[in-house]
Amino acid sequence: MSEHRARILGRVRQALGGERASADAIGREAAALIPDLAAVRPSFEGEAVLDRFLAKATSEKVTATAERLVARDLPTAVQRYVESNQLASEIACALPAELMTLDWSAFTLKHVIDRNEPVALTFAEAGIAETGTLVFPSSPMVPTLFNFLPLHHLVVLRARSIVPYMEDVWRRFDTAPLPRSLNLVTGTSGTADIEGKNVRGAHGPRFMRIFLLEDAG
Amino acid sequence: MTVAYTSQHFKQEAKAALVEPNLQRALDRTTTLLQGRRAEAYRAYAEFETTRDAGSAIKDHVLCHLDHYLEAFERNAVAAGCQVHWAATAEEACRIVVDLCQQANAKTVTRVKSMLGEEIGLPEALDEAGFDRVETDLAEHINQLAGDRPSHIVIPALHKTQEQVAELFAQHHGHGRVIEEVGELVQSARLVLREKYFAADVGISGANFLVADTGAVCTVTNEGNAELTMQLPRVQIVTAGIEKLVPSLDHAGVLLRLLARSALGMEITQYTTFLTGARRPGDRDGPEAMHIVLVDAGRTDILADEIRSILKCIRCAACINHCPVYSQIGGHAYGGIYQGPMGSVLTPAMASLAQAKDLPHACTLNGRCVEVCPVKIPLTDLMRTLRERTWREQLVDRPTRFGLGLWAAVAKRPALYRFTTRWAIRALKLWSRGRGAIRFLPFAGAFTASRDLPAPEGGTFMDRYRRGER
Repeated sequence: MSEHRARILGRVRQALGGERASADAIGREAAALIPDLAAVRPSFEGEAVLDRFLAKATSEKVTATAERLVARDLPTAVQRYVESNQLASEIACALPAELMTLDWSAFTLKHVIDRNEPVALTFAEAGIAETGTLVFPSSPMVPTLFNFLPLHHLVVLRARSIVPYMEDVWRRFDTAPLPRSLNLVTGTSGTADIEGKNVRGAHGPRFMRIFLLEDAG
Repeated sequence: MTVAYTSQHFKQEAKAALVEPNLQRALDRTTTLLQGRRAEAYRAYAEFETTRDAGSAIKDHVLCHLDHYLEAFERNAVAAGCQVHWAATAEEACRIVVDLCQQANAKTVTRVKSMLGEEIGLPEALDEAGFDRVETDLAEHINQLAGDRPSHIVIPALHKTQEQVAELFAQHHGHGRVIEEVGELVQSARLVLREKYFAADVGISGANFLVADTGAVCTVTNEGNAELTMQLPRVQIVTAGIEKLVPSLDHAGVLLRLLARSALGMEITQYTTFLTGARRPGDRDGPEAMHIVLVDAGRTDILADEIRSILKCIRCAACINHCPVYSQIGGHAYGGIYQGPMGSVLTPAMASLAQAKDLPHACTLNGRCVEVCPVKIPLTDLMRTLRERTWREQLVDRPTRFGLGLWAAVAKRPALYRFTTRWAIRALKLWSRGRGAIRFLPFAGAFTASRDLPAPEGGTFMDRYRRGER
């Protein structure tokens, strides 16, 4: 193995030739490649971050639906969704502790997920307004599979955690390590593999509902 | 295990493809759609040109400092708990993956579509070692059932019509029904593959980007199959070409914006995932081990070659979708893993120029590929470079050499050239009998067999120039 490592690095250096630059010099050069982030990402000046997020998330290409509410109404809103889609009241749930204190008595919440789970309720750490994207970092509290196995993915997102661009999410990891799995999810699972026709629910969720909590503070 | 290239049969294969009705229907339906979607996405992105400049500069920068970024990535990935392996050749890469699967006592191995995996012959190596290999990307699932190779790097089953897929699923999905609705076809595959994800012992993917400063592996998909493939099995293996590095997440962001728009006309793919290491203490899911295999397989040769800039390719397929040659003959005729303009540069480098000599010649040099390339690879220049090389290396056949020699002899003598072209135009006009197009021409039967030659109009360039038509 180390023999192949040496061979590859040797051949790279031979191909590039000359004196190799120092790590610092390379770092400075890399930083200079993007002098201004505003020049390389779509501007939506004048559009409120929240409005942009909702417009993108519910657009034809992203296909989520969304409703705005305050936290205490969350269980009723979830119940309305579950009932109107004729789903069972037993749902897979991975919410942070402060949302578990709400009145969930209408549901049987389980903390494991089955291979063909109909509904899962999860919490997004952040939303990205640029693209209507939800951000799910893995952690002991938030297993990754809850976001990928269900047919209906119900996502709780705090309005105040919506940021304009993906780079705003990256900034959190300038000082903290990346989670094992950082999942940026933009709407439902889709495929265009048969004649380019868009179909939803390829391997992951077919439906996504975003519950946007607008509590003050 | 290396892939058996069949590019030496390009001319016959292309000829056959032109008269294959299902292929022509599938190509026509899909390439037009993809061109339209891309154009629409960029109309809504005023920052496209500056992003493209940045994307191109990032890829150039990484190639110039590839040794630095490889070592940085390795250091950070190992610190995050990954095991990093190096493979100078395709055979070595396959051997490492097969060994890892055997060490994990694997029976079922799921795979996410990865062009590198196809390139190094990984599917064949896994089959040969006796694993139950399951392709999870819908298109690769279709290809696996049909026993086909990918015909497009983003939509690998582009050559199949919906009707053909329906027949395959009826035969292989155990329900025997020929499904007519495309949504139901997708559902049929979902049910079959869901069971496989859970049965898998090892999940294998490629990488769209390797983030040097964090050791993260970035994959993008729309189906979500990468996530299920990488999260469920005990062992996760990533195979990635050494050119896939980016300095940081910010640099990845620039390329992500270009990739999704160029490939499918989307602002972002549905799933963009960064994986950094194996399961951590307290995690309730994720693999127990994460392996990354860094693969050279000819890349350092390309790095040392005039065609180095092809290593900037981010595999978006925009050049393929806009190539008039691809849209007529599809992907299989190229006889390798990569198609269209990028394939016509990569395949000669990866197989041999002698075997794939027809590929760089099968180009009209119209330059649409260069216009749409998100990282500004001068594809037509690269093809010209390869054409010159086929000439120098005596790979051009004798009649062509003779013809070109004759043309050069005439072209170097202006008076003779003007005289000859003037008479040639008159002869061609007469031959066309006023129809505007020539269907058959003696000594050019190979050209006119599948296309018409436009009849010349209004005299030679020099005559018209002198008449004041400027």
